[in-house]
Amino acid sequence: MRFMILIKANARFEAGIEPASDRAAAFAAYCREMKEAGILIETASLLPSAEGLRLTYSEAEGSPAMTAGPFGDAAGQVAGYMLLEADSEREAYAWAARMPDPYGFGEGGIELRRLRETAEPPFAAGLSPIEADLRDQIGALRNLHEKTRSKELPT
Amino acid sequence: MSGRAAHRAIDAVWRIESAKLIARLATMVRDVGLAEDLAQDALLIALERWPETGIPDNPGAWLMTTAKRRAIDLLRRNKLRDRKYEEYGRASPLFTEDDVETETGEIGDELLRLIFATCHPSLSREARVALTLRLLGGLTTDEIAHAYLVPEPTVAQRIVRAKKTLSASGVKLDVPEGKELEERLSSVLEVVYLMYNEGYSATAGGSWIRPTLCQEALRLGRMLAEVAPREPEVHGLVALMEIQSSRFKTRVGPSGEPILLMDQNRALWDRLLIRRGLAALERARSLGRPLGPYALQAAIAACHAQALTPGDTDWARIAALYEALSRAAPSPVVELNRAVAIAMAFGPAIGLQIVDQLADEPALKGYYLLPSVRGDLLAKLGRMEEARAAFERAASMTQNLREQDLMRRRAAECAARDAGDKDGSPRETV
Repeated sequence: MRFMILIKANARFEAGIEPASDRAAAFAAYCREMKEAGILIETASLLPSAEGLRLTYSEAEGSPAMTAGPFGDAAGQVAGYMLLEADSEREAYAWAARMPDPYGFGEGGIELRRLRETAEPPFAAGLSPIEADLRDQIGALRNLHEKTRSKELPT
Repeated sequence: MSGRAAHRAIDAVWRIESAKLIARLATMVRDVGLAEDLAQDALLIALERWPETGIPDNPGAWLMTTAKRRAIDLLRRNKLRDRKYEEYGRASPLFTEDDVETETGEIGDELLRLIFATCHPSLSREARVALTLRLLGGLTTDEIAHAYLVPEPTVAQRIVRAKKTLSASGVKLDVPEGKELEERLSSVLEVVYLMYNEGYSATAGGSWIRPTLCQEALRLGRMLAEVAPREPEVHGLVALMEIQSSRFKTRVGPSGEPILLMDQNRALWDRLLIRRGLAALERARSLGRPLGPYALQAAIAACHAQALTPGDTDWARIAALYEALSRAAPSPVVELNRAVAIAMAFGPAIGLQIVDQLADEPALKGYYLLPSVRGDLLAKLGRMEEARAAFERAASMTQNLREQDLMRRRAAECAARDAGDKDGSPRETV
């Protein structure tokens, strides 16, 4: 199952202050370890919301209104994400819990969210032999159909 | 030889040799992940040298020798692996470096050990498939991702995790016996059949994949039948793969378009493979236990294989086999298959009844082949307006443009016939 860690922003991040080099190094080491364990699919950090655009839908089916950032409410913004693949929520949590304090000041937080997977099991896509049989059988049904018709045509 | 030609040739050698290479190395170093690394190292050395020296006469043996040398170096040098080295030394006390030059012995056992490791129950189903396709099928992570519609990094990470899990849980490279064999066999059969289907449906593109993967799957299946001759499903799976393979040449037209079973030139079906398939099915039956899903699907395939013309098909038997299959492995798509077989055997009205019972099935919600089948059955019953509506509905439910087009044309045909009826022109009974 896949999970996403959302790294929440704080005022410092929103002000565009880069994390101290020891923070960055700790985070890089954490990512490397996750990658080696086969947990981490990808990760990225975002720019502050001042660089972002917000689209709001105020009426059903209507076109959205655009607002430029910053959006305020620093703690409600997202500073980055990590996409993980784990066998269980417990395992994903164990990894999330090891993330170094993102800002090093005891500020901010992260959220662990599970991805909604498609109902179709990923390994059944395009590979069902039973479905191939069904297509063949539909073909048989149609052929029979054509045959009955052609029989009626005077030759 | 130009660099590009050399790379293509090396690529081809890798496809053919990698599984054997990894299987033999895994037996040697007792670690699937390490075995793959060593095989990859040998491939890198080949990529560096072969464009200059040309491809050796026996490229597989060259790769094996190179990889084994690396393995020996590694085992000697790496103090951390002392324990494994000792184990290895105990396992084959007569091994010397001279041995690496000669390529003898049956590779079969090593491939079997590898597949029982890559299909180990400690791995998730997705991981088993990915690892087996990678190590035994020689597919790249990108090809696996493409085939299963998941992002490439997801597959890559799945494989990394799977190898870690195997190393960490100390999975032994062996072929299980007795009760354990019985338990672990089903996950191996499942992966072998996925591998076969991956080749058969060729979702991964390149034309080389199809025959190679199918042949490998068939070969593994035949080997499994020898280790587990008392298991009906092993013979069932082999029978299914043999019979499906017999139609390999006839199922695609000259411009790559699929040819449905009923339109195939039956004279071109491979009779040898059919005979082997029927013999395997007979072995499954002779064990005297109820047939499982693979054997039942093989029995259905056998009905088609034994019909000399489409008109000779024993649809009543096929319908009965689908009923048995839906008890052994319940699935709404199997039910839909049964409905069509019943319509073929006993007429469209009964088929339509079954299809309409399936309409509320949650798993078939949004499944466009349900209204498509319904449309065909209604058309056969002369209910053209309802048939048209069913095909329109089917068209609106598929994203596939070719299928959409086909459904719309079927709808238009029905509309035209319906209008014809209302004009008072002679009615066609269909």
